[in-house]
Amino acid sequence: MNATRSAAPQRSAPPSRSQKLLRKAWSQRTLFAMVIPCIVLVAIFYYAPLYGWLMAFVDYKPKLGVFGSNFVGLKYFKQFFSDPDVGMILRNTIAMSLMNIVAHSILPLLLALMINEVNSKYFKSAVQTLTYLPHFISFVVVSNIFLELLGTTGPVNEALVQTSMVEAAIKFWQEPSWFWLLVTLVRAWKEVGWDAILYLSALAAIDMSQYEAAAIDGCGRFRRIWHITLPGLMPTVVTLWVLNMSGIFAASFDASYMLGNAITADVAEVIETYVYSMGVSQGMYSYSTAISLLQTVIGFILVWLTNKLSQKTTEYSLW
Amino acid sequence: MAKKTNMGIRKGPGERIFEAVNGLLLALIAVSMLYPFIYVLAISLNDPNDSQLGGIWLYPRVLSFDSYKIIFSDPSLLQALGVSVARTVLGTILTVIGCSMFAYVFTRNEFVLYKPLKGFFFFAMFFGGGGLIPTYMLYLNLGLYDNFLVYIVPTIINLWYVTLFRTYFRSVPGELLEAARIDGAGEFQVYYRVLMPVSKPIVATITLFSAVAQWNSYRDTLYYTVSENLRTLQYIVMEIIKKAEGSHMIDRSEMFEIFHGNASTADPVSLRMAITICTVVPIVMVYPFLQKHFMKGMMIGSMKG
Repeated sequence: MNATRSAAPQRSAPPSRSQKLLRKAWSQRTLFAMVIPCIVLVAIFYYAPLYGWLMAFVDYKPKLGVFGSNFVGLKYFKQFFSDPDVGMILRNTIAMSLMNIVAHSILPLLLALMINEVNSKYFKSAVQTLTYLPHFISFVVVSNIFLELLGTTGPVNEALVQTSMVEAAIKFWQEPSWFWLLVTLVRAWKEVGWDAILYLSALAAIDMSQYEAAAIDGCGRFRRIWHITLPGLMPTVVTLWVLNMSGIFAASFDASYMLGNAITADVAEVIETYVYSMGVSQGMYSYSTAISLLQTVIGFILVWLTNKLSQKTTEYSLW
Repeated sequence: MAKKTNMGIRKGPGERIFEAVNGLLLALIAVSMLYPFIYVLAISLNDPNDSQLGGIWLYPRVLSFDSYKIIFSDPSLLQALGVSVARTVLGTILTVIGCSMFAYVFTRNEFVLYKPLKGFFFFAMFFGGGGLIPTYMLYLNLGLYDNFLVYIVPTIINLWYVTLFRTYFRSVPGELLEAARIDGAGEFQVYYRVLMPVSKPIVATITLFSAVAQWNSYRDTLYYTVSENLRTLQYIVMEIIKKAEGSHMIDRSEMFEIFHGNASTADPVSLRMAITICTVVPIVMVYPFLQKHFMKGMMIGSMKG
C-alpha cells in the first residue's frame, strides 16, 4: 500500500495526487482483473435494459432501433387505459396481490410463533425442515401437484364425495369464484415455512431475560407473546411489509399462467401475463414495455409511500 | 436458536393443553407439506391404466414402473433432462465464482474503485434490470436469444447473492486475511486459498440457491428460446400441464372412455406424476446435504445486512 518506497529515484518533487492514485491502482491490478468481468456483466444485464425503457415512448421497430423509431409520447400509456380489459386486469392483479400480502404477513408470523413455543428440539427442526421444503420446488411442479390434488378426480374430491359432503365433484380449478383463494393458498403453502425463517431468526435475537422477568411477574404465555415477542418482531414485520408493497402490481406470473385456464381467464389475467401475451406472443413491443414501465414506477412509489407511512405511525423504516 | 423460552417457569394445566394443541397443529401443518408429495409418488408408481380408477391415497395399488420406463425411453425428455443438468451445473459453478469474487473485491475498502463501485452496485440493485421486453430485445441484440448461453451468462452476477457473500466475508476475522497478505499472498490467493475455505456455509447457501433457481426455471425457456433442443425438464412439465388443461374440462368418465379403448395408452396422470417426481428428486436429494450449512449462511448473511 505504501507506494513511496518504490518511487522512481530521478523524481525529486513529491508525486502528485494522480500519480499516487495511478501507482496505487497499478498495485491493485489483481483486484481490477477480478472485478472488471463482474462490472461488465452488471453493466450489460442491469444497466443496458434501462435504455430499453425508452421503447415505451416510441413506435418501436426492431430494424430502426430506439432512436430511429417515431417518437409517440404517451400514446401507449393512453392505449392501455382505454383498453376495455384494463379494469379487469388491474382488479385481478390488485386483488390477488393484496390477498397474497395479507396471507404472507400473517401465516408465516403465526407459524414462527408456534414453532418458537415448541420445547422438543427434534420436533422443532423436523417441522422446520418440512415446511421450507416446498420453497425449493418449482411453481411448475407445485401447480401440477395441486391441479391434480384438487382436480375432479383428485383425493380431495374423492374424500368429499365418499363422505357424501358434496353430491358431485367440485371443479375447483374451473370455478372462477374459487380462483383467487386457491392461488393465495397454493402460494402460501409454498412459501410459509421459508418466510417464517426471517421471523424465527428475529425471535432468536430477543433477550431471554425479558421472558424470565415477565414470568416472575406472573405473566402467562399469551401475555408474554403479546408484550415481548410481538414488539420484538415489529422491525422485521415492518420491513417485510414495506418490501411486499412493491409487489402489489406484480401478481405472480407463475400462478396465473400455470393455474389459470380458459374458463378462469377473466379472473386470472394479471399485468404480467398480459405483458407477456402482448409483447412476446403478439410482438407489440412498445405497448407492453409501457405497461411494464408503469408497473415498475408504481411499485417504487408504493414502497416509498409505505415506508413513509410506517415511519410516521411506528418508528421503524427501511431507510 | 433453540433456547427454551420458559426456563424455570412452572407449568400449569393450561400450559400443558396449549403445548399439546400447538404440537398437534404443527404436526398437521408438517403433514400437509409432505402429503402432496406422497400422493404424487404413489400415483407415479401405480400401474398407469389402474390409476384411472382413482382411490389411491398413500401407496400404489398395483405397483408398476411403466410410467418411468416410458419417460426414460422418450428421447425428447432425455434431451430436456440433459439441458437441465448442464445449465444447473455450469450456471451454478459460474455464479458461485462470479458472485464471490465480486463480493471479495467489494469488501476491500482500500480499493481505488471502492466508492464508485458502491454507487454502481446499489443503483443497479434498486433500479437495474428492465421489463420483459427490454430484456428480450437486449438478448436478441447480444445473440443470446435462442442460445444455450441465455441460461448461463445473465445469471452469473446476481446482486443479491453478492450482498450475501459480502456480508459473510465481512464477518470473517480480518487478521486471518492480513496474515496471508504479510506472508506474500496476492489478492487472488487470499480470496481463493484463505477466504473461500473458511466461508463454506455461505458457499453452500449460494450453491443451493443458484442450483435450485437454475433447475426450477422455465420462464427463460418460455421467453427467450424457440428451439426444441433447448427445452428444459421444467418447461416440458409446464407444456404437459398446458396441454392437459384442455382435457381437464372433460369429465373423468369421458376421459376414462377415451383411454380405455386403447389399453396401451398410459394414463397421462401417472405419466405426469412420474415426470413431476423426476423433477423433484434431485432437489430432495441435495437438500439435506446443503441444509445444515445454509441455515447458518442465511442467518449471518441476512442479520448483519
